Amino acid sequence: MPSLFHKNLSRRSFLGQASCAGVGSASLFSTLFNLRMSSAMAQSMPGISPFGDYKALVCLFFAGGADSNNMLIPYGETEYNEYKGIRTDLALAQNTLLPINLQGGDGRQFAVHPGMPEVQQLFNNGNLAFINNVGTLVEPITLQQWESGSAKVPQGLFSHADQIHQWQTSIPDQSNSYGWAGRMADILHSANSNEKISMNLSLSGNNVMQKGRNVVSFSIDPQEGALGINQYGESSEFGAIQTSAINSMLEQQYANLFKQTFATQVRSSIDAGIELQAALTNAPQLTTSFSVNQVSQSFNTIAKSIAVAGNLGMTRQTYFILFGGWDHHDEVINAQAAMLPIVSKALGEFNAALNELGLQNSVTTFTASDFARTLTSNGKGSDHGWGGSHMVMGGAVNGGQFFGNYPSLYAGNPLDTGRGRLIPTTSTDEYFAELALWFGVPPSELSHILPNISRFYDPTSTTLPLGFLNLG
Amino acid sequence: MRPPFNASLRLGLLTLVTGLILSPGLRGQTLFLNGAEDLGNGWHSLPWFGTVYVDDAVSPWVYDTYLGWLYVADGVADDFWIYSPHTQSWFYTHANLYPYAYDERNGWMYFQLGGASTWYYLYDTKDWVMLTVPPLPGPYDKTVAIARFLDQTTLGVNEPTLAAAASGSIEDWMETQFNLPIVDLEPRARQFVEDFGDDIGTEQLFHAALWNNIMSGEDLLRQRVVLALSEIIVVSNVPGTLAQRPAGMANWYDMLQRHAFGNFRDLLYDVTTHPVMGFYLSHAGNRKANEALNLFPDENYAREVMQLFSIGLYELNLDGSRKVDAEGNDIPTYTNKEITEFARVFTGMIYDWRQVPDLADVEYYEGLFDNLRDWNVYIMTSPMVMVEEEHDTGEKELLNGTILPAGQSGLQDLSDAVDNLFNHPNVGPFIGRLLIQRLVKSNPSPGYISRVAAAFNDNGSGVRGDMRAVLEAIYYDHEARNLYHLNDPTQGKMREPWMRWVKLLRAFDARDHYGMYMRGDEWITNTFDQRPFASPSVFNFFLPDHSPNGAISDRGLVAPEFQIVNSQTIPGFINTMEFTLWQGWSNDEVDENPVDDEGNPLNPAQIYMWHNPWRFNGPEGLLETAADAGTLVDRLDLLLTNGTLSEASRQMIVDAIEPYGIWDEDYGIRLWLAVYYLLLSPEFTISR
Repeated sequence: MPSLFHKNLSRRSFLGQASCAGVGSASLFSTLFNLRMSSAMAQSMPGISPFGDYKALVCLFFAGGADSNNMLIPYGETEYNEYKGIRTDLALAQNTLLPINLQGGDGRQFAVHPGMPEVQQLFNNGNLAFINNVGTLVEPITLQQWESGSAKVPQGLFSHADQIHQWQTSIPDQSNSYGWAGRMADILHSANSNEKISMNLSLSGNNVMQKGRNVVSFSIDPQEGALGINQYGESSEFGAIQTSAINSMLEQQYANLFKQTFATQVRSSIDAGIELQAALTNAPQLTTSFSVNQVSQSFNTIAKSIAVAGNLGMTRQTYFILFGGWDHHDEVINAQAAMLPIVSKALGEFNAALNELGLQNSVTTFTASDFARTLTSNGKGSDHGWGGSHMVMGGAVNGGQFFGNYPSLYAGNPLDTGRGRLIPTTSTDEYFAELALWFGVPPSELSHILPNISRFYDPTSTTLPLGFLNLG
Repeated sequence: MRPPFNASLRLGLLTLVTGLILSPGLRGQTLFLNGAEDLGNGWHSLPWFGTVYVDDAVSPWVYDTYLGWLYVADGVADDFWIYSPHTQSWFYTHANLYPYAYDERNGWMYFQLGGASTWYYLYDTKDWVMLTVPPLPGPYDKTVAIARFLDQTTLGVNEPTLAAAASGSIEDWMETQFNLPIVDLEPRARQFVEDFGDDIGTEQLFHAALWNNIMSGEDLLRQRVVLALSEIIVVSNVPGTLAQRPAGMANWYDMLQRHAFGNFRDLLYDVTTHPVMGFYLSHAGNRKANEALNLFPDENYAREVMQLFSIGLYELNLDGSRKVDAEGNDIPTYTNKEITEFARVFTGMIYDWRQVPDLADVEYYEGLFDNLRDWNVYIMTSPMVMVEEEHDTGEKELLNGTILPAGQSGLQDLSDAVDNLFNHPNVGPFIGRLLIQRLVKSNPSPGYISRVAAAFNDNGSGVRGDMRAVLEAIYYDHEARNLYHLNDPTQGKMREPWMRWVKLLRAFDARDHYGMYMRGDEWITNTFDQRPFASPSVFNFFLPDHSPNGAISDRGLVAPEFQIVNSQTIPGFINTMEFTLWQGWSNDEVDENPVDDEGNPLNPAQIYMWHNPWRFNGPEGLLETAADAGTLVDRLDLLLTNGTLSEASRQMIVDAIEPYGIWDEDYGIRLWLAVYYLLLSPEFTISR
């Protein structure tokens, strides 16, 4: 019976991994660890076979700390006034907001930013849900514990570099180089028969989320797809000489660790790029048209790449898009009026393209950001906050609903650490655990992907952490 | 020899190997020599290992009478990971294990010592191998040492500059450089703006002016240091309004130039009051709290000036390692409380509106800040002014218990706050490490950091923050200068992609078709993920602790520049080099008086806009040299790879270029191909 991890267990790939991960005690350790874990999995889950279906996770990351307080807004009279009271000059006028039809909930009404009609429609049609007051947490914490310092809080809370990192590792109490999607790819990569192209594809260069111990992301250009070296591999006189020169340069063993690392990266980049680009060239033409900006174009390329994933032997993929410029200490109103429509349109377009491909149930898109921002104003914009709202979109999403409680906004409310920096009531661990389970991570391996998960959710539970996805 | 290990012993030792904790705080050599008998003249006898030669200046290298040069990595107790340049592999051993060792590539091994030759036995393959200890490279030619020095101190040099430097001492060269006058960028940027204002994207005007300084200046050291500072104290002219302020960006650049060899305290003060920073980190127009309206001071600059520009997140020892509390945890340098206190200090600053002719007579009034913002009054070339009415005059508690009393003037608060940051013990090791990473190597030893931090703390005359003393400490340190470090497998750093390009252009005195230095470069943001002064955020193009997977991260080392190496920038860089080189050695004459299609003279900005290619102008006689491929590669090796190209790489390039030019004796193509292969080689990419 084929095991999901049969490749890991073969001697050839054991040696291959050891040399691939480079030298040093850590690589020996990780290889042994993988072996142990894989054999444990094979025993605990007899009969597990490579995935028969295709699934992709797409992360849209708002770098800089998006002020989600003006993306999803309380709309009922009482709640709106509470919002207006604390946001003062940052409050959007009530009559400009786009109300949404929330299923369930506690009777409160909500609306989205005036520039997000597509999101309004996606929500109302059941294709999109909001995850509320989600953020980095070491363990659940109350305001009393916050004030007395009796519970652990994330390292470098409110700092961009730390929080953008921790949103991608979901390990806010330690320095860790690997992201949760990277760790996921480390254990699932053999679900893809393709050995050259990474499970994790980035439209925005290197990132932490997709970096695993053995798997690193492959970068593709939002417009051009996978790039190649001019003439490389061509049969012209120059192409032949150049190809052989580059190959021999990359085959050398370099004692210097930097040189060897560089040579290794160039080699794998060339090999994967050639194969991926060949497939992308044959991608079907979509009738859905995408806006001309980096975000929409990235989604366009992702749609094409998803369409050819089967030809490349890929059954599991993650994609990463970074959309920067959300650090609105200044001009939050005008800047969001320009940027949120880009997000909304892109999500609408991507959803349409996936419907066109008939893959809407196979792809789940989710948003992330360093943190949300202070509810109070600094007179020009808002400062670094903590918990905030995020979107998940796709056919598997239980849309039209909220997951995680939308907080009260009044100053001094039981989650307010000051200036409307709200203590998250949903952890990134719960958010990502649900995505990981949908993606195919066995519950028994969840704590390998998200080491702190058991502080928020019992992986042996029969219910999902938040319930926003339909695993059926 | 002893019999091979039995299975259970092997398993136990394997656990030992995999359980080894690498402690970056301890240098392997110091531990290695624990208990050794000092035989004098650098020779030491280790009862368990043998007789080794150690030159303090080449730490952590030791020379063993049997095994030759060895690199002893960080270790604990008497466990060691050792790299042999002769076997090109790491092995693990232990005082109770040697002459047995575990080799990373070959498994268990046994060293047969004491014979005429040293042999080792590999248990996995049951092979005996003679250990060939080739003569060490060197003594290196002085030109190699100077090429390497200039590689660290400049953005690139041509052959005459290299030869001139090689004829003197590096101390003389530094002295000359320290005393060269500053060439201000702002007048040039203003000239470009005047010449053609909105004809091209104004953000390109700053970059055009910058190219002129970088390509034509004599002040090579200052340019290099300014670029390093620009990646530590970051502002960026994309995206947003700074793009529209080329004169302001140039003024910022000149501010960095003024303080590059000055004092860090003055730098920090001028950074704080500079309108470009005030715009970028939004403390321009920052006002005291109005709690009734729920308005609070902006915390942006307060946070980043601490986290990125001065002290960092955690308390540091002099050697850059983190201090820990009784439980072994890192100690944060500040909490959000200090951020809000500093945010209150940085209230009341605004662009100097009186510089606007129509506003010259306007006095402060309630609502002025809002109006200035609404009118987009961004005065980017005069320091921000302090408006006392908008400054928070309450008491403030800063770092290390420093209290700013209530009622101080805004400027006094500002000055005291800058002193508070500047005098924090973290600044020396924190800024010192970042500068070493930008200028010399990614992984300075704790000793190197502490030597540089000590120079920051006291320049020898009791002055703190003397940048010149810091730079001398960085460049004169044995980790920067001693050529034995070329053998260190952890030595070096990746050359930043933009700097690789500039090194090429400067090596060949590149100018544009019209003999100038104007050349559009906005597209490199996409192909390099790097364009100076155009970082995607205040966190620069890459983080100081980025560590790529594999051998580097396995050893707990970092390689910041690898953060922008990916499957887009790898081909992007190579293709850009091909394009630059292919056009660079064109035979077209330089046109000193460029005109457009209708015969009208072209101004610099139009030339810039036309994206005409770089033309290379040197070095003399290089084309003739190309008739002999080997000689050509050797000459280029000195110019681009500091004379350290390996024999294998040299041969590879010779083989790839020799087929060209044979029939027509036109060797130009050999020239550009040789440079092309050099530029994409790991040996050029990594600077050691």
